Amino acid sequence: MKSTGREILWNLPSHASVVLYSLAGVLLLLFAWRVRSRIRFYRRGRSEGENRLDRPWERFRDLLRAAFLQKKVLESTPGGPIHLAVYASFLALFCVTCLVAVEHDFGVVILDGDFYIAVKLFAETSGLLLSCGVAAALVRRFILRPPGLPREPGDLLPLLLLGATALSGFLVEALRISATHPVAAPYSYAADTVAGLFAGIPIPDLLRLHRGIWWGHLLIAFGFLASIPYGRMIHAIAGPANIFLRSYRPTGTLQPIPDFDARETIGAGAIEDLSWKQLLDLDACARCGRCEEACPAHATGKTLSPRKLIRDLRVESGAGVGCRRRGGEDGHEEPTIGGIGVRAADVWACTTCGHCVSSCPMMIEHVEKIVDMRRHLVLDKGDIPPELEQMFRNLEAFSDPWGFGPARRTEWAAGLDLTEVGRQGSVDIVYWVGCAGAFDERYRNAAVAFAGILKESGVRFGILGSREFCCGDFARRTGNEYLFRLLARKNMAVLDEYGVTKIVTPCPHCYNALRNEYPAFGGRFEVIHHSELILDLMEGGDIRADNVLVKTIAYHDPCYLGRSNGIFEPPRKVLSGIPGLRLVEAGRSRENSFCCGAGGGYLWLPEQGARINERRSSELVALGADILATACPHCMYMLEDGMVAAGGDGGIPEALDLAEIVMRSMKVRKGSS
Amino acid sequence: MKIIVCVKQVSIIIARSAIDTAANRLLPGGMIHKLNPHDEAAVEEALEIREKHGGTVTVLTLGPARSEEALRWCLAMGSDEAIRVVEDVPPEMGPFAVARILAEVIRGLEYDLILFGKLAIDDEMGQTGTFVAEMLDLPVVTTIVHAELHPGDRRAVLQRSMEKGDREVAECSLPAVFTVDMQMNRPRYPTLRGRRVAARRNIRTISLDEEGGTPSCREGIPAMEILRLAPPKTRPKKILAPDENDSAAGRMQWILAGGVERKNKGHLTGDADRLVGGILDFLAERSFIPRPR
Repeated sequence: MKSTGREILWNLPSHASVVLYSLAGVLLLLFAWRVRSRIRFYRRGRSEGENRLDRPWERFRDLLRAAFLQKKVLESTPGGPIHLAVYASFLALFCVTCLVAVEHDFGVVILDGDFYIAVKLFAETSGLLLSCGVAAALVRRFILRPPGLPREPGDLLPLLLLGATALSGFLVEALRISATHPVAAPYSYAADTVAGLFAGIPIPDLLRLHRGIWWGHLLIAFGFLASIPYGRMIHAIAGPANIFLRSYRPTGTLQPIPDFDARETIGAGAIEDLSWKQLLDLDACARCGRCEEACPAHATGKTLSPRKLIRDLRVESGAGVGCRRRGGEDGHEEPTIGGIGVRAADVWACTTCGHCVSSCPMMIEHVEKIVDMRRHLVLDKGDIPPELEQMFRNLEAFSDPWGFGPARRTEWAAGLDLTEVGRQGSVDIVYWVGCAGAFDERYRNAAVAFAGILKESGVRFGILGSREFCCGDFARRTGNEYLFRLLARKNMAVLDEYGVTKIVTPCPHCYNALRNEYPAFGGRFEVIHHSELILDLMEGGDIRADNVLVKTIAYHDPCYLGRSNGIFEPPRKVLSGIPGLRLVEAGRSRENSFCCGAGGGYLWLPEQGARINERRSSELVALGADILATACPHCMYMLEDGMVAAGGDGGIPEALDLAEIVMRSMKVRKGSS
Repeated sequence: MKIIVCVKQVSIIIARSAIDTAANRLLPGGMIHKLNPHDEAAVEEALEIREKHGGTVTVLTLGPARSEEALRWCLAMGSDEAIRVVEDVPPEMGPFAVARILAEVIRGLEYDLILFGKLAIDDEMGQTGTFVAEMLDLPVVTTIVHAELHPGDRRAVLQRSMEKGDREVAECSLPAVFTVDMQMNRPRYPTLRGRRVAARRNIRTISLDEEGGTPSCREGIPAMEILRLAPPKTRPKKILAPDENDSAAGRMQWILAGGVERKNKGHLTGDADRLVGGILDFLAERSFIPRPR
């Protein structure tokens, strides 16, 4: 006989355990049946060209950190702590219940003495935490109603079930205490307090009430457990699986498509066109709305929201249990792409900045899906915004988006006396200018400045001249995989012919494509960004930034450089190495940098409503900087354009590329900037 | 409807070095070859007619092996068959010789309608379609921008583009030759499936000599002699500085359209008096109005 422990299934008829285990069996069946059907659903998706089971240790580490320890969830307040309270206390109570079950089923005495009291205290506290967490979640979601948090029936039900489980648990405990007055009652401090309510009720009534509520508690708790894989709580299973199967590609890099040359169709025009992992993504989504908060398109009033996108796909797939209606959360009437429930306008509103992907606690890959839908529109349907089509035609015929043609690619370097690779001698590093550097009248100045820095440093470098073609980044991200491959192969032929081993480029889009996407075409060269090389040269004393520039400078992190490829420090170190410069940080910077609005081909599309670049520029102008520095041609002209609209009376700061700023600070023998 | 579309792969000069002034001809190095846009519109029109009335679309070109790329583009758009006439026509033979060869080939094909682009954007002759119609004894309507076909009673109602947006409506019996203006439609962009099909399709080549055609195609054609090819004078380059108030996409459109001169910067701020004063000063400085007192 136990000294302090309690009798399990006290006050219950002998058939209680039979009923309990039968119910548990039904629960397990319902649970397993749904999980099986979900797995079958994922398997309907196409295969992927990515290995999602490599690096097992990293995967387990991330599973532990992101799922079990909720590291990523906790980054947002108050949602993170509330979720942790509910999640951790539910897990704790679940474990305690399992402990009780083990004791009952195997006849071993575990819960006794001090350990019983410790478990009691722990469970009691967990129960309180669960109640508070659920209450806080309900208040936040349904009373405070922060924007971006959905309030559909499916969002309410799990909270109600959890809350009812906790409350009925306390009631059962309280009734038992008031009927039996156990020794350990004070340790059940919450239930003991509630027990005061039942003082004066005759024992038989207490016993009847206890039995009734016990069954209620059981049914509610089992109901919740059984509902997990059916509604939005499926994120508790699919989420950790999704984290384990995450991609280790940089966020801005798209998956290679190994079987492309054998394909007649491509992209996602129906749910079945999504990959198995993309289908798993749909279930993993907890609809926390962080992607929506991060999304520049959503922030400027476009109808695109990554959260809504995942939700609409889920509803379209027939799995939207608890979602109010099909055809889009906002009940829009506009036609959607084939059988996928997403508006074409939303698909084109994405800048592929990757902030949704990097902010998702479940590591859902939104951008890949959007690009897949673009591929469907462009290459299957031929349904292309006219502005993009013009760019595609130019890229195919002239190998640059503007249609200038290869012969004019060297115009920017006229009079600079640069080495052209393959024509004169060998070089150590190829300066990949990019289309912006070669053709954009404004950015040419930065291309010239960087060439000046390289010349000053004595690095043996060369350009590819008229044999450099567009890297294909814009084509790829706007869904024209065919064109991207055409350009990649063209460039690879030249790079192979010259045996190029190292490339430096000022354009993060070229950088990302050459470094992360060209290996699929046999690219075996090192690619560095000009900020990295400039930093090396400054630290190695090859160039000296001597001129004092007394300026306040704000640095804008380009998405494809920072968030995607982790280059946050080199540009900042370069800027802080210039005497006189004072660097100020924007509120949203580094990992959380706000897109300039150019990426993913958005540069080419007419923007509806508020402009992303104006939003970003006004944020930066508000810092009071004299110079807005960036390290991407597209960011630069986006900010420059945006500032005119954002600029106040205090004058408009200059938008400059890193190379231009360094050049200004250098005492150059023969100025070229 | 059996439709034949005659297309040309045009050469676009992308570098001044492309003109060999000594030989009075264009050099291949500085050029890019692509399907003539008016011809592309003609192919699009043929495909739309096929979608509406059924039938087949055959594209036909006369040109070197590289012009098969243009045919492949037409196949990728959805044309059923492509034929390349292998015949070396020196440029000085001009459109008349080309028309003779095309007419000879077309005589051996079945057709209800023959489409041409209104002109090729490289040599800008615009005569081939009309010559072919004459040689085949068919009616011809040039520069059409709208077509309404009635295959049942073998006639077509056409709209021709005239000055300042005027339209001329013409009726014509079929079979006939029409030359299409590129503003007629927006040609489709080839889908991936279209490209794959085009890559697999065989392009039929026809050589008149082998086919036993009349070898006299070029006989009696007065050869045209090019006396001189004058490259344009180099002018100071326009500065591409689009309106800075425009969106980035607008800016890109500006650049695509060839760019504009740099605008005078300067924003007027302040109350109405200052604004008016500023505008008067601006106009006076440029002698539009006498200097205000």
